Amino acid sequence: MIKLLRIFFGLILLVLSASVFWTSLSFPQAVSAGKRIPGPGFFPLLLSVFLFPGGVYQIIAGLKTPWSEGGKIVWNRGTANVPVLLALLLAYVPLMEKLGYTLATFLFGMLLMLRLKVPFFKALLVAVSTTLFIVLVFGRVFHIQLPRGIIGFPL
Amino acid sequence: MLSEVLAVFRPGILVPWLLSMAFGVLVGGTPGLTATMGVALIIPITYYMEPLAGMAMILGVSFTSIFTGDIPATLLRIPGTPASGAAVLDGYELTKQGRGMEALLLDLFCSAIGGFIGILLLIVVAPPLARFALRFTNFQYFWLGLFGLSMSAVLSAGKPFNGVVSAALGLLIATVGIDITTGMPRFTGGNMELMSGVGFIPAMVGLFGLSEVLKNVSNPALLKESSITVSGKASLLGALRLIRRNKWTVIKSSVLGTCVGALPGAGADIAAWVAYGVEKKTAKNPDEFGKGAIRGVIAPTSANNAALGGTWIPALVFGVPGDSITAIVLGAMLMYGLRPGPLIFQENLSLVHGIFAVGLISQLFLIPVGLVGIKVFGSILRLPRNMVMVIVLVFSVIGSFAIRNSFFDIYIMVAFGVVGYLFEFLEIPLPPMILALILGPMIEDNLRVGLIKTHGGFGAFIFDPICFPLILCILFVFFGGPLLRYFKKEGNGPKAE
Repeated sequence: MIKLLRIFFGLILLVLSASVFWTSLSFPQAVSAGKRIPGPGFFPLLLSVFLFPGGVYQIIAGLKTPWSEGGKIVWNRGTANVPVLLALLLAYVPLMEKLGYTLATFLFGMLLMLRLKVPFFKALLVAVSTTLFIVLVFGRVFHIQLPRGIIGFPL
Repeated sequence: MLSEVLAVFRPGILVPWLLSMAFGVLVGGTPGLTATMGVALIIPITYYMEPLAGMAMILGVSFTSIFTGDIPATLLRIPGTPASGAAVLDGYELTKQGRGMEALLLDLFCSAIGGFIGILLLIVVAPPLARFALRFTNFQYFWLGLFGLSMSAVLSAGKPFNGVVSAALGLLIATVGIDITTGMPRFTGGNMELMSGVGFIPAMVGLFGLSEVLKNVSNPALLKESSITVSGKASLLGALRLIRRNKWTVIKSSVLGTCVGALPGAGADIAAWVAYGVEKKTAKNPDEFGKGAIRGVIAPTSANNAALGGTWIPALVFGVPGDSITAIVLGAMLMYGLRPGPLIFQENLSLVHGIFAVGLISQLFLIPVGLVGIKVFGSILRLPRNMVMVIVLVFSVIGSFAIRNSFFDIYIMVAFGVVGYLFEFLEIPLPPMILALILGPMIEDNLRVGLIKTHGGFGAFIFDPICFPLILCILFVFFGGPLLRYFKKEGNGPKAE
């Protein structure tokens, strides 16, 4: 697992380094007193050169890592929590735009806590109190424009 | 000066300050939540306040959470924050001997005294250092920024090369947006939201907040309930007597902690370990350490809070963060429209005095707040982590959104959270990336402005009475350790034969 992750990360660094290198070359040069001086591409170009050995190092480190390090991914409720949480989080943002902050946050909090096996009534209490606290502090005290959604519900 | 001290007692500053200290108790006392994360979560709230109130909140959270991080370290053998790692060793041993309360009271007073000494040294050292820093040129600032970054990359947990990768990625992310010199967009992909760069707050909340939540939810064992009651009985006077008996350890560790904290990249966690190591090495009975030695509690707990004062020295004087907390502070200062660096001592002297006053008074507040923290800690520990993580997540989302009222920033937070979570597996440290995000523009601007001044010549960047030692320092940071080990090995070789 760690072995593959290291190799994959190394490859990403190599691709990133190459793409930053080529993109930086396309930036215009700057001129000062008739002399060419480093333009907007200079610093990213320098960084891309640094990232390249970083990628190579990760790949070599990955190849040297034994398969057993970090163990195999055992798919259980815990590991499944990560994609479930991310999916809920990504659904939460458009939901906030549609339903408004209050309702979306309550639903998000409730669903996530039930997924994490918080007893129903405790989850209800925490979801309601957290949502109300944020709406009051951020919305009322600091006057942040929290999304109201199509329902316009309520601040 | 007196009016600036009195100004910190205005309700507009005092109330959020005390509330932030209560929040610090929660953050530090809950294993898995770090002081850095606490500061990151509080920044969006401070955005809507006057700068001094914001600074008071940041100082309040950081000092309190570093202390309360020692509570689960002492009682459960789980450091509440990384800075409490060294406090585990003897603190937990004392708890096992039924002296947990004694260790915590000792810890509380040492934290307050350490913090006080740290801030006092900041007050004494910072102004003259700032006058000296005013003479710094672009070249010198460039190397100073790079020095801070290299210290962070090497001193962070994990392999130094991984720290360099983390820093390089952070610097690269910092280049996203419109180039200030030419007005040209870089790496934005035509996205208007990226024109002003990658939001620092969402990135930081993602790296420290969401990644921690992901780590916790992926481990069902961590989500299980755990509770403990504060063990043993101890008196305040007894703790004070112990401190008086070990006053030199308190003072030595506090000064050492401040000095370590002042090194860019080395924060409270390293300071605590260094102080513990020095105390053990210089003790008459080093064998007692790790078995419940009083000095094993005093040294790290004095040093970790003292280091916080130390980290503010490079942050205020040079605009180079001492650790990840001051990296966030610098981001916040820029957000308030302030310019951290030597000029702040001329342009915003009253704010600097206010920060000093808040820092000193926070240590006095820390004692009652800490006592309450110890008392209520039993109930905090009983809060199941699955509930705490959801609350942290909801706050991470609103914190990322609130800065610019941007949904895009929430996606940025999620992306950085996933990166932070994966970096944990790859043993790639996160602080260098955060430091690079803050220092990136400073390093690049000084490099380019310097090159404009020299018409592209690199000579002035190297052959300068300040640049050259800085370059040597950077080289020593990377190669000093291996070289010293090599020479030590060479020196031992013939003897062994």
